[in-house]
Amino acid sequence: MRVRKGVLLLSGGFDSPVAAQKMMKRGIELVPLHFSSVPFTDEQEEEKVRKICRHLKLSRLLVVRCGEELAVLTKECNHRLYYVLSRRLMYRVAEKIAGDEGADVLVTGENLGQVGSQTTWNMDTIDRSVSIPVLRPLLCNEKVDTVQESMRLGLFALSTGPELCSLLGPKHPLTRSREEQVGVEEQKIDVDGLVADCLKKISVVECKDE
Amino acid sequence: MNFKVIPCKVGGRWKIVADGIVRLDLGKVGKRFEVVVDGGIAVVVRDERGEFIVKKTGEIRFKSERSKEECGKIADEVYGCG
Repeated sequence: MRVRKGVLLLSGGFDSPVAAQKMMKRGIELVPLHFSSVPFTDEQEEEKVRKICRHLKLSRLLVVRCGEELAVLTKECNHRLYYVLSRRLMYRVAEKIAGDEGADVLVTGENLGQVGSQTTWNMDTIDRSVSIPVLRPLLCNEKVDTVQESMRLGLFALSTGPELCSLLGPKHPLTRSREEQVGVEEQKIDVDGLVADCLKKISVVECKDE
Repeated sequence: MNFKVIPCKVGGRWKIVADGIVRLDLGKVGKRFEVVVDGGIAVVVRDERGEFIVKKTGEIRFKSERSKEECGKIADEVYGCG
């Protein structure tokens, strides 16, 4: 399978912009997608992601304000699975967008063992929520290498600053999730409804040079 | 309740951290302020001064810049809810 186009999950931290650069270097067209936790955060984070897109010469950014949908997860489900459940929700939304955009893959800046959601077990549980392949160009990077690469690409200053994805997260996330366990939690909520709600909230942000 | 007003990593703002182990009753906070969204472990509330985020652990974050004194006053009101 030749990959031509991917939906990039862009958080605004150091990793995903570097992952984007690596994929673009391979000639892969990217559709950047940012999940914003508004109203649990303000719009600063979205503005930061817009600047990153401009630097990467990505002219069109998709933003999903999903704070209310994430709040459903924290209220209804096992909080220790929050990161896995929230990513499964985001991947499902991203997969739908990939279908609409004609993209072959999802691209993320995830890195093995970097945070609680990025263990082998959790990434496997997250991947099982979608059928589209997920590419992680930084999977085995050392953080220091990613940060240096970010500096080299002129992204460091843009990637520093507000990134509050952990605001709703647990102090001690589960690092060895299993799909059956996550399935039980997802039965407590209307997953398809949450995905549909997120899709209704997509906004397109132009990132061309001003 | 004792608390600290400390700089937040989000540029130029303050956040409140309660001393010790705290379990705030967010339901009571929601009665004092207007609830924007309830996330169970945290609520976004607002009044005439704007929106702020209150976590069950007693942490309060502000969505816009305000003085350290005003942050402290809001914390007194939030913790005063019980």
